[in-house]
Amino acid sequence: MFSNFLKSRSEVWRHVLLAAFSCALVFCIGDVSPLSAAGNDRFEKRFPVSQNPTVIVTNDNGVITVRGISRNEVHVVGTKRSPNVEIDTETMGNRLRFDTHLFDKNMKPQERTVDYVLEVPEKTSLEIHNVGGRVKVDGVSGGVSIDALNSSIELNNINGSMILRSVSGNMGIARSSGRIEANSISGDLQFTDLTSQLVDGSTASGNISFVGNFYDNGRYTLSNYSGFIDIATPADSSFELDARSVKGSVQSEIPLKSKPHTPFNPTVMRQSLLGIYNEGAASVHLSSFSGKIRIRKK
Amino acid sequence: MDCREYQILISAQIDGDMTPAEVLEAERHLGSCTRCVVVYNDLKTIVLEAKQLPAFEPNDRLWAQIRAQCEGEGLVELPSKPFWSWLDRFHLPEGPRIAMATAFLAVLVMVASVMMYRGIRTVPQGSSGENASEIQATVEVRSAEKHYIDAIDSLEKITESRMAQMDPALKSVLEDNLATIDYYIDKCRETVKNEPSNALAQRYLFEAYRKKVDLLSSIVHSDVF
Repeated sequence: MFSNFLKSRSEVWRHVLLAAFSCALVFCIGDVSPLSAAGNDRFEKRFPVSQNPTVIVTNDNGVITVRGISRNEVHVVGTKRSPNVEIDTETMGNRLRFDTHLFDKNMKPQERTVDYVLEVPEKTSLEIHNVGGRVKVDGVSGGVSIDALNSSIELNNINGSMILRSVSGNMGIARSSGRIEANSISGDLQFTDLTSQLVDGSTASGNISFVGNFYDNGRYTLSNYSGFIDIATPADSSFELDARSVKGSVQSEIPLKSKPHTPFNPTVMRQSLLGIYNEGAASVHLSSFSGKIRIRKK
Repeated sequence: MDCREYQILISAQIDGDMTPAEVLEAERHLGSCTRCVVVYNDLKTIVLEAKQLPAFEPNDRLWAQIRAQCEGEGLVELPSKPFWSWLDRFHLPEGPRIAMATAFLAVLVMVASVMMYRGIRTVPQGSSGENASEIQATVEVRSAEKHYIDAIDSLEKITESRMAQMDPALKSVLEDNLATIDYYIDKCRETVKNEPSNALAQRYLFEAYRKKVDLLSSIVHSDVF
């Protein structure tokens, strides 16, 4: 009897302990979830808009991804890494604004991080300010203006004008048309397969790469102080080249005709090179203070 | 669209008041006219900078001088409306409007001197002609340079306190890039000093100053730095 009692008591204790352990486990798991939610707080909202709204994003640190869609709505997903930041939204008619608001300006960069994923109508005008991280925009045609400090910029399939400024972030613009104005201090500029007719790229110490065709009546101006300017263009490209360097060098690996049709050796390193390739339909101006300029076939 | 037509519409473009057709025409013109691109960029900078200026009231004497200078240069028609009346569109109180107008004049002088410098063409005329044109080029470059140096000095005073409160990593990026620009300013100045008629070196020198003004202005005005 007593032994049965003991046995039953020990079983009770075993069950109590098991229950306590289970509770503790559930409590621990339950405790982790809110923490991770606080650490990676997600914000999601949809805004009905017209087909050409203006969307402004101001962020301190993080990845901002924007994609053009065919629906007339702005869908935003913001992911915060700290409870000490919040996402302020403001709507003024057809204008939407998303601002990352820091409660504590002395937070570490990682804690300041907010990643945004936005889906916007294709004809949206975009204005983005991002201090650190990355900005990626794809398939927007209403005009893009990006101001970045240490943030890289990556644009694909943009059909409106692009005004881009960075201090040290690299910029890559591909398969886009519309006017491009890209300025940096130490960032690299990379232009790939553009159909733009107006390209103005300038960096101080960064490299510049242009791969693709120059279009008829287009004007392409690329300059840096040091670093490399590398142009790779297909054989059927047609342009008039004006390449100059104050202290660096200019080299062309493609057969340029000089204006008065006098033959010259374009492969020789020189400080300036003026010539025509095919019919000279586009106007290409390259300059570097002390860097190297090279023009070659793609 | 030619330069004259474009310059009539330039403020509408800066204010975003152009029709889509005008935007296309203007962009086409900008694509073929670097002179108008320079004017557009400078005016855009002026408007952005002026919006950020603190309010202050110039004394009557300074105001009279500005008024006399504007009338003397035929820049404005003062009798009916003051020249800064275009600032009405910003709906600002009187103080900031005056500040904007004064800043506009100051930068107008700067733009004019830069455009004057851009117009410098040294024609070889034998050794004495070359010397004369080189001296003239040096004087004009220095004069235009002074406006940038003054602007940079003023901006640096403001940015100093702002940068002191910045996140150290961010501050370091900005300091590195300011140092990069300073390095190129020194290199360009050295080249311009040795080759006063080198138009490309002059262009690079002024572009470097402009990059520095742009970066310092960003530090002053950015909400996120």
